[in-house]
Amino acid sequence: MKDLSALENFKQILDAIGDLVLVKGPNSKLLWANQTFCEYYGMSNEQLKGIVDAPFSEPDHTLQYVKDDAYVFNTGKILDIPQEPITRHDGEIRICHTVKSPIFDSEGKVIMTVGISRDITDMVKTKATIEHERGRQIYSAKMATLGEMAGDIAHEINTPLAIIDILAGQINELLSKSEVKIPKVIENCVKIEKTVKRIAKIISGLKNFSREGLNDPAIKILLKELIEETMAFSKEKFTSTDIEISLNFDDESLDLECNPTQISQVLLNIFCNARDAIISQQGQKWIHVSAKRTSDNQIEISVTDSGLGITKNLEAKIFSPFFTTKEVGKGTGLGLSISKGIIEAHHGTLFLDTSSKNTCFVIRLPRQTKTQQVRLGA
Amino acid sequence: MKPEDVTLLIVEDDEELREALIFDYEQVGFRVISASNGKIAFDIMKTQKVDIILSDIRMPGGDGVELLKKIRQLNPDIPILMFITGFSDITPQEAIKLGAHKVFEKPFNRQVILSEIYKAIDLLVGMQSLAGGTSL
Repeated sequence: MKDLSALENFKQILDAIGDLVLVKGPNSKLLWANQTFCEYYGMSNEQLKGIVDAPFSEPDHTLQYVKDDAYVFNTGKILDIPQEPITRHDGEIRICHTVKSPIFDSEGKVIMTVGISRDITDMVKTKATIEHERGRQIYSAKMATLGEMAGDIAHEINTPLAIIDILAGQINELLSKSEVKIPKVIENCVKIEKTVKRIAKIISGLKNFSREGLNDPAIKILLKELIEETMAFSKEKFTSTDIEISLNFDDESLDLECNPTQISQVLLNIFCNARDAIISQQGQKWIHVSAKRTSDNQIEISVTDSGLGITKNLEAKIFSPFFTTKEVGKGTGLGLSISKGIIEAHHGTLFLDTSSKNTCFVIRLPRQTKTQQVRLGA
Repeated sequence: MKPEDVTLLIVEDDEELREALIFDYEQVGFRVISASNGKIAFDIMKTQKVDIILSDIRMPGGDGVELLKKIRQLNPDIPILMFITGFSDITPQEAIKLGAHKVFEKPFNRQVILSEIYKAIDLLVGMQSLAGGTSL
């Protein structure tokens, strides 16, 4: 009689705790849950007793719980799970910090496990927001420095380029007028002039990093030109590789109202990610860029590479700030999260097309922006 | 107006580029004078008759924007063709607003500039028939 009342007291204490407390027997069978847990699952202790998990839980999550329980049962060790997804009765997936501990009998054999889970969803979200903001600030600062440098580099290179261009043109003209014709020299002059234009285009691509460009108002641009200009700039990154690049436009006259500097940065980021992902791949390496108008009058740009997609567990993380699969020092982990921010500021969407066999990123943008000024971080 | 009657003032700090441009326009037959910065160019204009100006923007010791402003205060009509190099320079629109006749980005197309010079001469001829003479 006395023992039973002591047990009731303990139940009362456990029910008063705001964390989820759950006792399980062998094979993850539920034995007892505190009130917080019952409310979380929307089930009574009677309904919970003997089952492994609620029917509304994600099968993948349940499988992980069973694995974790088995670990505690088999090793007798405490298991700390910093972030664990738990589905609430209303279907919302929450994030909990869970600690699972073994309960031993008098012979030291594990007979039960007790799990304590604290819902840390709000904290995780706040932290992610802060990190995102920090990422943006770092990025803006980096871009500002690059922008200042870009302007100076353009100035220093464009003048000598102009000299080469003029001198090649003069040689060409002088030779054309002279008695002696040397076709190869004339041909070479034309090639020099062409090469100058190529360099000039690359320099002009640097504009995409200029500080002023970031706060430019939205303007109407030809999509084909924007993509080609960005390509020309990143081409240097691709020339030494055997990656084949192809462009495909549904309609070459497609236009788009946007901040071209920002959209170009997003494209450049996706191109570079694709390159880094497939560079050491065996077999054929390619990046395919296509642009079209969707039925609801949006612009859709797809960048597909020869990579075999992104694994499901990475899928959710790739857009988070500071997440990178690149080796230390190579990636900042900011590219895609910033890109997503830029596209969303344009009232568009940036996502991974999971239906594609290969890795495929899709940018969807309204042809006209609602705001006059598209600012980074807006 | 014959080419030899046209005086072109080239304002460019880079010696190589300046000489390449001088060669080009002397070939065509213009009378060409040059300056290595805006300040020197303005001093030249005080003593000589100049019909058309080709000027760089970024130059040590007197930049093209200053030159443009100073000339426009005294002479609203003389054609000034400007080169811009970097994107931290003023924009073509801003230069036009300040009174530039045309703006070219370096590296520029020689033929395009030459045809713009001819257009500017036509304009000058038109204006001279109305007034006569262009000097500060």
